[in-house]
Amino acid sequence: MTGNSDKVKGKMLKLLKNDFLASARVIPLFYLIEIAALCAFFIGRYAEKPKILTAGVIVSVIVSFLLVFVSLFFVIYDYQKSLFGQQGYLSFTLPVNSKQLLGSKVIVYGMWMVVSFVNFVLVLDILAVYIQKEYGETIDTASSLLSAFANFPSKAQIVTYAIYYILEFFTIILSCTIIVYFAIALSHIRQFQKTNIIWAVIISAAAIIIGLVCIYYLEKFFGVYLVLGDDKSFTFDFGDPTSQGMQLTLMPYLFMIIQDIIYFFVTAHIMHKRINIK
Amino acid sequence: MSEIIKINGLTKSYGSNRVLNNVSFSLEDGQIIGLLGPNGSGKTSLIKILTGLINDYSGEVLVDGLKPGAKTKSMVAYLPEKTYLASWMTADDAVKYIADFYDDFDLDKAMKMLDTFQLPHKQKARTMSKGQQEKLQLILVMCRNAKIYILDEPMGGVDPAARDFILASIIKNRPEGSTLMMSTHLIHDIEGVLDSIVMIGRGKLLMQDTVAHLTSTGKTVNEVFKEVFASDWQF
Repeated sequence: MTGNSDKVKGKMLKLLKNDFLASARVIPLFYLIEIAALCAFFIGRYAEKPKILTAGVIVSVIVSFLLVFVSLFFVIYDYQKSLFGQQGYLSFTLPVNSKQLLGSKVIVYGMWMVVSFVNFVLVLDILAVYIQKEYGETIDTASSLLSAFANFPSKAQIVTYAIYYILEFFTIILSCTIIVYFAIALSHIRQFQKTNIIWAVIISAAAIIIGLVCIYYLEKFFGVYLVLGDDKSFTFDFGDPTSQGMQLTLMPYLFMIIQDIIYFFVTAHIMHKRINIK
Repeated sequence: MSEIIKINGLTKSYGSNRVLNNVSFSLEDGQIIGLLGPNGSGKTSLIKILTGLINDYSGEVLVDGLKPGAKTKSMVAYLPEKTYLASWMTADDAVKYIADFYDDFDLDKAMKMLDTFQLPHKQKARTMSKGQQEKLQLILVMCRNAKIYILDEPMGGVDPAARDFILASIIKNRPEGSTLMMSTHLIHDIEGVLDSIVMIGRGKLLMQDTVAHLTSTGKTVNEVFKEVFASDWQF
């Protein structure tokens, strides 16, 4: 039993490794360009070469912005090509199941998406600090960041608040990735295969709209809130929040997590049962 | 000998088009089997079911006693008629990729075969000629010590000299005791190496026999094939 589960884990790691290697052939090039641009920016600043500095700023902002779209493109392109193109003959005959095939793609490309967003925010932050300094403002970034949390009565609440927003961010990216994968898989069943690109767009849009409508009504009638109380307390409120303090709504993320699990298993089922590689 | 493939009442449809209709047969291991039939007879669909590429069918399909799935995929070496290599893969990448997933893959043998077949290790698959890609895919399949080899039209679309080369490579590299199933309509080229045949037409099993029994009547497999399918091509 243990040997069998080790083999399953081993194959999953190999899938992750190979999916990562396949994706790592193009995406890191953009990061290298961005690093080069940031280096140019710092060199330009300290050597007082305004042209190099300006070029560094422009290129790093454009590339960090582009990276979000490049990552999104690869999320779609690699999934479509490696599973539903002719390469599917290779992928679907590997000694793994469809949940492993799908799980590996979600993890690897979800990671690239998260990295690209974090990278974009970091690049903008670096440049924002620089620009503020250039305009003569001496700002202590750490204290200015903490001033946003000045109203929180305890450190535990600050940590909770930060974790809440980080998890929110990951949940949204994961949700979008899985919805896109579900839509692409469904668009490749026989009924939709001829115009699969159009169907993939329609299905993605429909899934997002249905999700948003569900979230709206769930929040309206079955709201779940984490309330960071003024008296340093943490309480959960259901329905209309009555406790005093900062209310963090949990229902959208609970819904998205459940939705992601459902879409994951439905997509794996479609890949296993309904796909015929041409 | 034991039963390596068992098919019972297999039916597969694409919408209203029934490509396999209540097909039943079983195959003993250790043989070279020709899966014969004209284009559109259901050979590729049957192969896709055996290799776990198609899973929505009715009837029973067993490969070494198991329903096609992750476990049977580890014992089946499959050569599709399409080129399936990723565009980023070089010959070396492809060989290492397969070695990663299949415990029965002989990496050293594959590296040597790349040289024997004069395939550049570092050339990307997308820039290779069709012949080079077919050779590479053949290496990926025949360097496995698999229990079952399923080859879909391995000699389709290549010239007669290449056909001989491909067939010789398959026979030479097939491990003793393994089962080899080849689908083709180029019967003349392969009938000399076959132990038995399965003939499929119009979605039905039309004939299953040993080559020794068939040829004992004085006819070749090619002639029997023409007799069976002659009615499809009458004016």
